[in-house]
Amino acid sequence: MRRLLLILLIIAPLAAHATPPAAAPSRIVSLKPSITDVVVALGASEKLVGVTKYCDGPEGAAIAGDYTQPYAEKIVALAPDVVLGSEENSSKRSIEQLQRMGMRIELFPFTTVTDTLTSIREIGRLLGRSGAGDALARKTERALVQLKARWKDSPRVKTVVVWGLRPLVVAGPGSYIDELLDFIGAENAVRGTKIKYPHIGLEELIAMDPDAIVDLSMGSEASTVFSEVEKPSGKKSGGGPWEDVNSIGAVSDGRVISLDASMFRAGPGLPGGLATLGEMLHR
Amino acid sequence: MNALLSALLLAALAFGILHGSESVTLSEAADPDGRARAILLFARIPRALLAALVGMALASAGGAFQALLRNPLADPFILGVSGGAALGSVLGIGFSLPFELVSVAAFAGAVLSMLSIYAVSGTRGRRDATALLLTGVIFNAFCFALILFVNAVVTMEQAYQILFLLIGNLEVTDMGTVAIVAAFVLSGFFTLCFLSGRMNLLSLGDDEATSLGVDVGKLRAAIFFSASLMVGAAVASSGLIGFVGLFIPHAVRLLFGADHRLLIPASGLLGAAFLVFADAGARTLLMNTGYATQLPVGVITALVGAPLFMLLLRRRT
Amino acid sequence: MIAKSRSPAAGEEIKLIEVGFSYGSSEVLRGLSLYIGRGDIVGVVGQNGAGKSTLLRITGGALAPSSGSASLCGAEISKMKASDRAKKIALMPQESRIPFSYSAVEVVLAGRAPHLPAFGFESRRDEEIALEAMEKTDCAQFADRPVDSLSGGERQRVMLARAIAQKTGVLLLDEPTAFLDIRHQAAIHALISKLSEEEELTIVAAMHDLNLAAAFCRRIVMLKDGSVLAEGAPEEVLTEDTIRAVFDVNVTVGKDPATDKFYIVPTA
Repeated sequence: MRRLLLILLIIAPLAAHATPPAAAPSRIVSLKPSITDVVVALGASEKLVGVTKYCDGPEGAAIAGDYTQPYAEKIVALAPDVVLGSEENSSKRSIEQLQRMGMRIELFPFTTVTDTLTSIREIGRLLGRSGAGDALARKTERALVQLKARWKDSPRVKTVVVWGLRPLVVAGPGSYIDELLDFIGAENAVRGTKIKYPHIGLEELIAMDPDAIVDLSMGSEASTVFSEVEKPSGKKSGGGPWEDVNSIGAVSDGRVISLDASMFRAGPGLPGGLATLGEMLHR
Repeated sequence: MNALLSALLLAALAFGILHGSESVTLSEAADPDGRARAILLFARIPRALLAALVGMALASAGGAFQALLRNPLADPFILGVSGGAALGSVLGIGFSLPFELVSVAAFAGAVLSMLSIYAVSGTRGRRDATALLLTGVIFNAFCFALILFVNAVVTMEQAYQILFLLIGNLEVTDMGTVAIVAAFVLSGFFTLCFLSGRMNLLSLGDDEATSLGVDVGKLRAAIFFSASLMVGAAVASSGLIGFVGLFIPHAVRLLFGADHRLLIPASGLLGAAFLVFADAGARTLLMNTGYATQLPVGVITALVGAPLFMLLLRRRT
Repeated sequence: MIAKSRSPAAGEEIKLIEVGFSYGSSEVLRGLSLYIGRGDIVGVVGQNGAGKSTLLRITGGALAPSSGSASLCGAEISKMKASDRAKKIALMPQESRIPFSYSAVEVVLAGRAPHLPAFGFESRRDEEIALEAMEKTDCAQFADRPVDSLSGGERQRVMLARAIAQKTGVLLLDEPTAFLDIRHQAAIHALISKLSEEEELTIVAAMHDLNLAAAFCRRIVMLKDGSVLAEGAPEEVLTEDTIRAVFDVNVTVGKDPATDKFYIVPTA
């Protein structure tokens, strides 16, 4: 009798997992712009019925959430086969809520380059397009490797990546962008802190004396792709908030690069965005 | 006694200017192209001066409002001008205005609220302390509801900026802003010092003050406008830094007595010194540790101020 | 009912002519006329809410009358410059809630404010005057104690000291002995009489205690429904009829044969 119970205990969880292989989903909701990019790149954009406010999704897709908050009722109304999200974006509570409402949720991390490549493959598998997924991951990886090689011998550019101006928040060691700088022959001037996005003061920035400042503080709402600060002696275009601090070498030499943060979105578009930044840094 | 506090303020300023996470000595600062000079001129001096001005404004306005409302629980934000200033800033952030214009919007908000509150609280010439207080409190509530509304509809980056503003911060890099704030704060402060004798009389009661020769209506208006302009300038440049305006006047009362002729100037000086120290702490406490980040200055003012105040209270009783 | 409306005599200081006052829509005083001479000690009596405090506040300039005129030596009180008025008239309110811990002597020193320059501190002479006043009202012993630690009666003596320290010609006192024990009541009223004689102060006191009013005031003014019902010497004014008319109570008015002072006692 006890043995029977033991066998049942072992079989039960296995039985739960032994669901028949699901048919490829035909209605997808994406809760992260990176995921939307991947689905579109895999040729499945017509399956996207819901995307976030900040996604570059297909025209027919409804708005199903913003940066961290999925719109639960909207999602349920769209009756998707699967909702794709990431732990780093959506809160546990909202994910649980969607599950309770009967939605199937799959989560994919995009916090590091490795995670991104894995997620591309996994999403491909989920969509029943493993071949395309693996190919896309390989292509992206290759492009990143090429980037690294391109500036392998150039002098490393000491860079500070600014996420916010007031407060002055920069990318610290271990942050997402920190890893990417390595691919384009740049090194993060922000060091010695455990915090991924520390709030520093002007004096620390002056002391770091970076070769270049990458200003991503316009977030994903930057209207121009990039603009450079010209020398104080010349015309000022887009100098804006950096005008007052030309005590920093990078500012007075016109090496403040203001970019749209979405260029560095994890996903298939990343190598292109990085290449642009790399060219500007090594000019 | 005021001489003592002035000396304290100067010491605080020296500390605030010379102390920071990066070591800066005066000899290094002699080098015109060096980092040290840049740090002193752009990072330290404007910030320390702003801290002193905001501390002076908040503490002396706090004391003045306590006299005006005859209520020791009043703080500089209670009369609604801060709500209007904060709302102005938030709208500026929401409409993605460049930073200088955000401050202007904030100050405009302060002035508009000051005028509205004053106008609304007077009924047929009888404008008393209670009417002013109620109008201010309601106005504040309204402004903050609007702020929360704006906060809900802006982008994440803007929401973070709004939060930063509401907790209060002393980041400033140009002396131009400091000069403008100084103009408002110093003129308000000297006005309040001049009126401080009459504040003693006003705090005894409207009738009592009148019978002692005070034009209560005019005095009330003078205190309200000069203190509100100071608070407006402070909030426009540094957000809502809490605790200073409430705690410093009480500390001065416990230490030196309740005579406003002493209380107002002493609060101004002590408030200035306190905030300079608090900001130096906020800038550096975590910076040289593994966490290397700044703290909001409001955290320091409360964390340090509250226990200090408890100590003072126990000493008294 | 004795209604006297006599014309003012020469040298009369305070003149209230047909004064009316309303708080919002409720009319408190109407057609009130009263003349008070220099050096007089006048007791104003009446029901609570009859307008005693309002009368004092108008006479003190804290309120302007809605109609009629209130003048001091010919000058309209409500139109006087506050600083001038403060040198001439001192008003002691019924009760005072002082939110801060001033010391008692600081509160009394506030009475010297009308005599100080705009941003000035008190001189040695001002401090002497304040302490003198405190001695007169028997509160000098708590000069340095915080005023919020004093009892109601002690605080009242401090406020009276402040009014005295103001060194004005006119003292308006709203219930000056309301919270005091009988010893202090007697002492204060003796003090008031003395001030009136020696320094020729004009004193108007709102009082609820008819016996005390009768004993210490030279003239009594009875208010009913916002105007003067009767006024004159205590024996003339405080009769059983007038008291019934104003206070709606039956009393016995008698004279103590030993002291020749008369008393008022409610009958059952």
